[in-house]
Amino acid sequence: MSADPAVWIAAIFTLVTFSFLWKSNYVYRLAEHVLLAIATGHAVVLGYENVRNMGWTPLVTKGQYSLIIPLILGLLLYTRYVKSVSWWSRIPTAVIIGCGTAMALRGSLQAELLQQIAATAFPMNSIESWLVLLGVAFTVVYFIYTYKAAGTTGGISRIGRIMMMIGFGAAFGSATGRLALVVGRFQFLMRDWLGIIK
Amino acid sequence: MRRTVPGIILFVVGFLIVVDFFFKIPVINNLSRDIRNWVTLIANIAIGLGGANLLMVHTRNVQRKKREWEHSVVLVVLFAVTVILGISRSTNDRFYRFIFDNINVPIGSTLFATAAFQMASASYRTFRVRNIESAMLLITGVLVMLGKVSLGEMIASWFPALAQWLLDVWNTATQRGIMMCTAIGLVMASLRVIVGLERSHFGAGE
Amino acid sequence: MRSLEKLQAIDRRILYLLLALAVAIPLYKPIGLPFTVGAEARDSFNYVEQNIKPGDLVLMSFDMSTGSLPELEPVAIAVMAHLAKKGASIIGIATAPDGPMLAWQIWRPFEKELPYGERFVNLGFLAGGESGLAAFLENPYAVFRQDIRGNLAQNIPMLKGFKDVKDLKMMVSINTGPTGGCSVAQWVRIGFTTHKKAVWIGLNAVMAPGSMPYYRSGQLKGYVAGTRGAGEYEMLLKRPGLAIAGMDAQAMAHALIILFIFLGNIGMFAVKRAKGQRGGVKP
Repeated sequence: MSADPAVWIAAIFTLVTFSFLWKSNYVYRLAEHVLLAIATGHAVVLGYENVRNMGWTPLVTKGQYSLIIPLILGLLLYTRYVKSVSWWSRIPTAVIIGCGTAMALRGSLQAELLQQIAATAFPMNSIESWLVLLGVAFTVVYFIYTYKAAGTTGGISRIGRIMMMIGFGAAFGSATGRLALVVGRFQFLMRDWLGIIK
Repeated sequence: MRRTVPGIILFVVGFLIVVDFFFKIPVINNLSRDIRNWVTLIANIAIGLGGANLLMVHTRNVQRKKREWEHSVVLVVLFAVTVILGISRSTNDRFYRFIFDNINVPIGSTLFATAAFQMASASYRTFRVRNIESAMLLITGVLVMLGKVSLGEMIASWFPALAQWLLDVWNTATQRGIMMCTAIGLVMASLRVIVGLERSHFGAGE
Repeated sequence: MRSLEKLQAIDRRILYLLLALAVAIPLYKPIGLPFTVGAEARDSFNYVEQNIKPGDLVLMSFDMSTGSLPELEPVAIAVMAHLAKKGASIIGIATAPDGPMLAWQIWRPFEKELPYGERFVNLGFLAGGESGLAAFLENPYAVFRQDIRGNLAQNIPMLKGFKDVKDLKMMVSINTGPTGGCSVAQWVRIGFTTHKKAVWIGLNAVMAPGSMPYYRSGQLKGYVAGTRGAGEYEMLLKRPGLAIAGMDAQAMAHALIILFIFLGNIGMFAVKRAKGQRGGVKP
C-alpha cells in the first residue's frame, strides 16, 4: 500500500466518486462541487495569464496600442450584468461569432464537402468503394427533407436508414472503448494505491 | 440599434474573414489576421464569465440556505483558493499542481468511468431487438466489439478483419453522408448568421 | 416465469459489481490474450517512422480533459516516445483548459530524452477554438509571448527556428472532442485544408467512427483510437506500457457487455413467449 499522501487523497476522491454507483450521496455531490470549483478556477487562472501575457504586457511595455480594442471589447462582455447597458455585450459577441462562423464556413466547404465527395468518388476500383458510394448516396437521400420520400426515393431512404443502423452499430461497437476509463482507474487503485499489481 | 450595430459588426467581421480565405488582398489579409488575434484575446477574457456565473449562482444558494448549501460554501472557497493560488504563484506552483493532479484529475476521470458502468447496465436492461433496424445495430455492434478485442481473434481469425471491414465500409459511408449533410447545413447556417437572418445568439430582443 | 421477470429487473448494482470483477481479476492475474496490430495504427506509426527526422519541429496539442485521461494518456505517451526516438522537438500547446497541466504529466517520463527548452516546451492554453488555432499558426508569438513557466518564448532555444506554421513538420492533436478544445474537424480544416500540413490524431474510441472519413480520405496522416490503438502502437514501438497492461481487462469487460446484451434479449424473448403461452392477451 502506498505511503504517499497524494496517492491516498487521489484514491479517496476516486472511491468517493465511484460511490455514486451504489447510490447518489452527500459525499459524492460534494466531490462534484469540488471538481467544478477547481476546473472553473483553473480555467479562470489560464484566462488571466493569457490576457496578461497576450494583451496587457505588450500594450504597456511594447506600446502595441491596437490591443486596447480587444481588451475593451472583452470588458464589454461583462456589461451583461448591468441591465441598462447589457446590450453592449452583444458587440464582442458579434466579433466572436462573426469570426467563428466565417472560419467554420470557409474550412468546412472544402474539408467536409468537396474533399469527402472526391474521396467517395475516386478511385472506384473495388467493390468496397462502390458500397461506400452507395452508402453515402443513400444516407444523403435519407436526409433530404425538402420533399416527401415516397415511391423510389422512399425505398432508397429506407435502405439508407438500414445502412445507417449498420454504421451506427459499428460506432456503438467502438463506443464501448469507454471501458478503458474503468480499466485506467482500477489500474491506479490496484497499482499506485494498493500496490497489488505491477 | 441594439441589434443593428452588433449585426453590422458581425457581418463586417464575417465578410472579411471569408474574403481573406479566397483572395490575396494585403489590407484585408492583415486585418483578418489581427481580428483572429483579437478574438483569441477576447475569448480569454470571456472565460471569466464562467467564473462569475458560478460565483453568482452558488453565493445565492448560500444566502438563501438552499438544500445542501454547504456544498456551495466549499465550492466558493475552493474556487477562490484555486484562483488566488494560480494568479499569485502560477500554475507551475507545487501546491497548485498538487490540487490539480490529486483532486481534479481523480474526480474528473472517475466521473467519466462511471458512465462505462451505466453503459454496462444499459446493455442488459435496455438494448433490445425490437425491429429490423435495432437488430442490425446490435448485430454489427457485437461483431465490431468482438473484432476489436483479443477475444474475437481467439474465436475466429477473421473477426478483426470483419470488424475492420464494417468500420471501413459501412461506418465510413454513413459518417461521410452525415458529414456532408452537416457541412451543407453548417454553410447555410453560417451564411444566415453572417447576413443577419439568424439573430438568436444576441439573446431576447427588446 | 416469475424468475425470468426477476432476472429482467435485476438490480443494476449487481451488474456494476460483475463489471468491476471483470476488470479487476484480469488486472490482478493477467491472461496474456494475443492481439494483432491494425492497419490504422500501422499507418500512423509508419508515417512518423518514415517522415520525421532529427531536428524536426512537431506541434503537439494536448486537447484533452481529465475525463478522458485514462484513455488518451497511453496514446500521448506512445506518440511522444516515438517522436523522442526519431529526434524530433515538440512544441506543446493545448486548446482545452486541462491540457497544459496534463501535458506535464505526460512529458514527465521523458524529462531526460526531451529536456525542457531544448526538445520540449509547454506554451500553455490557447483559447478561441478554431480562430485561436489559426491565429497561433500564423503568428505564434502574438498569441504566446511566454511559455507556461514564464520564459520569453522567442528566447527559448528550440523555438529559435520557429516563425510560423511553415516551420512545422507535423501537427499532433491528442483529442477529447469538441467539448474540450478544437475538434478533429477543426484541426483538419486549419491544419490540413488551410495550411497543407500533416495532421496526426490520437482520439477516444467513441469519437473514432465519426472521424474515420477524414482518415479514409487522406486528410489525417495518423489515426490512433483509444487504448486499443495505443496498445497496437506500443507493440510496434516495442515499448509495452499502460495500454498493453490493460488489454486483458478490456477484453473481459467487452465480453461481459456482449454477454449482457445476449442475456437481456434472450430474457426479453423468453418472458414474451411465456406470457403468450399462459393464454394471456394476444400480441
